[in-house]
Amino acid sequence: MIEMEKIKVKNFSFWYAGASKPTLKNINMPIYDKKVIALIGPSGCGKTTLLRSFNRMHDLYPGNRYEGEILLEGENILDPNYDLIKLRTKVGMVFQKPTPFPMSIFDNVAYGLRLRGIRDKKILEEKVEKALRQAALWDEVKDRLKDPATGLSGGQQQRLVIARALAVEPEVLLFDEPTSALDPISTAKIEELVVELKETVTIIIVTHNMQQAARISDYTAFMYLGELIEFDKTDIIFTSPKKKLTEDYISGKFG
Amino acid sequence: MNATVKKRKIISLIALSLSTGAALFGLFWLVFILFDVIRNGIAGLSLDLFLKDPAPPGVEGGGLRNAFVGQLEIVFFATIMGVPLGVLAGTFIAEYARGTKFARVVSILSDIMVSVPSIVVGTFIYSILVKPIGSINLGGFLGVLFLSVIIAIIFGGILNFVVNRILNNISIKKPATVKLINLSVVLMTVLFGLTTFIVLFPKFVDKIYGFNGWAGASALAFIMIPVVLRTTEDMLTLVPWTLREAAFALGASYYRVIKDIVYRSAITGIITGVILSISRVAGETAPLLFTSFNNQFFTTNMNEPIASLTVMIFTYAMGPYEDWHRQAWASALVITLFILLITVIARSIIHYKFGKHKSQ
Repeated sequence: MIEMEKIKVKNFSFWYAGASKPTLKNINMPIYDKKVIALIGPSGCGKTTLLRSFNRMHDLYPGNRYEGEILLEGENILDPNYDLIKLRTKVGMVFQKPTPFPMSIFDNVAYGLRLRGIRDKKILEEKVEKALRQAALWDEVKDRLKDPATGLSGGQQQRLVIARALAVEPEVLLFDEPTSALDPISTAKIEELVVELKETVTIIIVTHNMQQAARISDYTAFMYLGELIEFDKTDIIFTSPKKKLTEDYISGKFG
Repeated sequence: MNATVKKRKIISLIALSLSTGAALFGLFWLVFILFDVIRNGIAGLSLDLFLKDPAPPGVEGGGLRNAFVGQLEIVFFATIMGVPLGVLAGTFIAEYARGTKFARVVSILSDIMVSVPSIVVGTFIYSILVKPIGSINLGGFLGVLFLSVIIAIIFGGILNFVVNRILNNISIKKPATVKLINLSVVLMTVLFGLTTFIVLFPKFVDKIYGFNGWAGASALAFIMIPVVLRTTEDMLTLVPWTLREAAFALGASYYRVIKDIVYRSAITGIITGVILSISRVAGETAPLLFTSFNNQFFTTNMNEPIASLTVMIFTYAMGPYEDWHRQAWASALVITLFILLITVIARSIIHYKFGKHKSQ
């Protein structure tokens, strides 16, 4: 089966400001369109660093250095001339802890749209409803859209943040351990949601939870000490990995 | 065993009685002063105090209307000058310059400035704004400059609003064109400000001369700025960094992140800091002695010496007349209650905001 490549990581290395050794060393991997790709590996292996490279979050801090290429539909997003607003429209992100803004539920979801100059109330209402439905939150909040978002539960907040990211209709969604701060029921809801979302977007998810990676991802990348050790279909990684290191990690011998 | 327990109990008792004694000692004087102010102040309170201007020395009656109005005016303009500067500087330190050496130095310097004796601020403002330097009237110069900047900002704001409305309607989407238009708005604002300055300068420069209300307001603003700066900085630093990253990840610029997310999260804290800084300067006498000085007559003209309650209390308390003393006590009561009121408001905002968070 031939998959379409949405993103291609080519000879990618990354240095944090002031570091002499790269945090990511010569990464090469494809990200297939409308699939869930899980990044796993022990703490400090660079999986979050890699994830944050896909929307150039590292640009917020001066002195960080990229090398190589990350091609999004053939265009190198690491090019300094690549428009960051365009990039962050195409590539959304959800963080470890829920990050509702101090405003109403509606305004939270509409924030990205308003940033892009959409002021028409009707369009905003339509898109907010669509995003909240996609994030499986609409029924819970439709009667209190004007309430402050901080009043929602942790799981609801996380789905709200997903809705906020979905509202601008991204093509790729980055998840940085989205369930590590949530209870099991909320986690199950988010996992279900991720599987549903791959109908429309490509998903890259960093997780510490290997069962989670096995449950929801189509492809898995195993990283260790800044290197990509193995990348393959999830069932292959979890049943018959080619590298000894991967097998040891999967079977809990270290990490 | 038993002896050690006994010894410990005795030591504990001694420590308890010493610290209770110290607390009671402090509290006693506080209550004493408050009680004294209330006892003497209530006797002098009358409607005349607020509605009449001072009578000539030695004549019974009269009030301190000029001082109440002057005080409010000076504090009002001090707030207008000090708060935006303090908030913006605090924002720069906490956001754009976060973690740099420069930010640390400014932080430490403001901490020092907070504890500079206010009379030093008064003499400083006196030396630059009241006393002419050679033949240069710096006070007048700065006054006209400040006025021109305010007028230019208002002009620029309106122009920007109108231009953006038009741009939205004719839907120009080419970034380069929009950039050019925005740039020309900025340029026109600057030119407008310069023209205003050149036109106003010869007319107004000599209006502000010698002791004047603006100098008094500047001195108070000078005291407010470091207080507001530090509070703003602290409040902005409390906003979790991930919240900013989340907004950046949606494609927001740093300006939008600060305006939409950071300020919204920190607004209660900043307002509380502003209110506390107002209460801090409202009771200051020393910085006004050398700047706005005093005025026996009613005036709202900030270009002249202007009366203030605190300086009036100082003058009246030192004066030889029984009537003056009564009025000074009454004014002291009013200003104490005023400061108490705004402090209580600020504290209850803190309590409302942060007390609620604790229970969640």
